[in-house]
Amino acid sequence: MKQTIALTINGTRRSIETELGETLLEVLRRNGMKSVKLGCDTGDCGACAVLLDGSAVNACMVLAVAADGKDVDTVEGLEHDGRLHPMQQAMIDVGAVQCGFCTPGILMSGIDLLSRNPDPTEDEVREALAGNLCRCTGYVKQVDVILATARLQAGETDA
Amino acid sequence: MQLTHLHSYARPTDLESAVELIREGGRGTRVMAAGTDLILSGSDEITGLVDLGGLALSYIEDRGGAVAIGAMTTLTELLEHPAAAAYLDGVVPEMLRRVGSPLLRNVATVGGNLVRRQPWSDVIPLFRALGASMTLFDGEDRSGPIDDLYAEAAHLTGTILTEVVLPRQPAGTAAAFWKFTRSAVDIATLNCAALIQAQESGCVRARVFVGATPRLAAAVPSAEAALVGTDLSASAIAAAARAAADEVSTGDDLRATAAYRTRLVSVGVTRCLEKAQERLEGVTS
Ligand SMILES: Cc1cc2nc3c(=O)[nH]c(=O)nc-3n(C[C@H](O)[C@H](O)[C@H](O)COP(=O)(O)OP(=O)(O)OC[C@H]3O[C@@H](n4cnc5c(N)ncnc54)[C@H](O)[C@@H]3O)c2cc1C
Ligand code: FES
Ligand code: FES
Repeated sequence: MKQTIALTINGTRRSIETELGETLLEVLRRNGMKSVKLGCDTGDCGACAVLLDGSAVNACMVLAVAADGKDVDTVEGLEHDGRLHPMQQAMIDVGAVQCGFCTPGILMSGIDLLSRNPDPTEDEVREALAGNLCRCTGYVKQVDVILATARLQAGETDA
Repeated sequence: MQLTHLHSYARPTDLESAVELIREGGRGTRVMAAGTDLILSGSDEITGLVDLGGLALSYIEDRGGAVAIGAMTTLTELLEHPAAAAYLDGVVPEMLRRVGSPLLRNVATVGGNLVRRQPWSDVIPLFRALGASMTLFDGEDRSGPIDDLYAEAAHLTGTILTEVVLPRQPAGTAAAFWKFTRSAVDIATLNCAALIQAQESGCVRARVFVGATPRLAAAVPSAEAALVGTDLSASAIAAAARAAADEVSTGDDLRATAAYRTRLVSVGVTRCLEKAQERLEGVTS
């Protein structure tokens, strides 16, 4: 059974057709949001993380129909006026991307963390990334990226 | 697609309609909270969903020292709430930080965790040790201990869990939670929750629950009896841990053998009671 739902994806309200039993992950990918990766489909890897009404969630663990009317943010919406989000830029500057499969999900978890806790400790960053598996990097640089972004954003608000 | 046989979905905005929709839907119709378990089940039997997301069941209230939690409250909302932090030295957030990952906790609900009766649930042993009560709605409100959800004959079809209340605890009460996992976000190989209450005469009340044995969490009456009347000294705690290891029947699964789990029962009950005892000293001194 198909149903039409309204999702505000990266600030643009869209009318989207979904099968009732489909997850948000499937619907987002079909509609062009290829930053949302299908890793495990069981809530374990975090490669599919998106912001749902501002909170980072596994898109594979949410039914698309249940997200009707909500805001969804993905990596596709992070860039503004040709400039990357500071956490994206830090990923490049620090060299935290290897194969890159986990990177979008880690950005979503990192952005969620800094929105709740703008000045996290290293332990808090590690806890925030507990649901994001990376098989390449060993996490050290990704933790550095989030801490560096927090420092940068604190500097911006002080100024 | 995960739920391939799903052909009806509704998000009612009042409880009466929700109950009616479940009844009309019949066999294949399920109540949905966040849906994490329902999606994971991928079950062909699920043909209809009644989503509780439109009901006003997401709230946390401090009711004079008791904490009332709407069934649709997410694990993150509870973890971050000041009323949970203030309750028994933050034992509830202590447990919730060990449940899955932040990505899961941002959607998974308290009600979904309690109703699903997973043997490895971390929420169930702690909430039972705390003596939580609940309200069910099946056309009218029915209140009772959450223990009723875990009775052999518990039958929830056509019934919605609306609220859970952690009771106000008497002075001199402390609780703790312990979980053993193979990795940071794994489900429990074994978990344990304990509550103790002491007066000048010594321990007057003890609740000890062990879960993921790998069966559903259950009380350990022999360990509780070994504590009441004692001064909760190290030897009293050791006696309770021995009683628990004798009483709790453990089994094998992919995470651990029965023998390994029996060792964990002893270690877990000891560490949980030691932590509760430390908190008690913090409270009484
Ligand atoms: C990757 C992963 C890791 C996990 N790790 C842990 C862990 O470490 N510890 C732990 O304890 N749990 C863990 N869980 C389980 C998780 O906490 C539960 O999946 C979650 O709490 C269920 O909530 P939900 O809102 O998604 O429930 P749903 O999937 O919506 O519902 C679950 C069941 O309860 C019924 N139901 C839900 N709400 C109500 C209600 N109000 N009234 C009546 N019936 C209702 C539904 O019909 C369904 O049968 C994990 C899950 C995943 C996917
Ligand atoms: S694909 Fe969703 S958590 Fe792995
Ligand atoms: S960079 Fe390859 S999985 Fe993380």
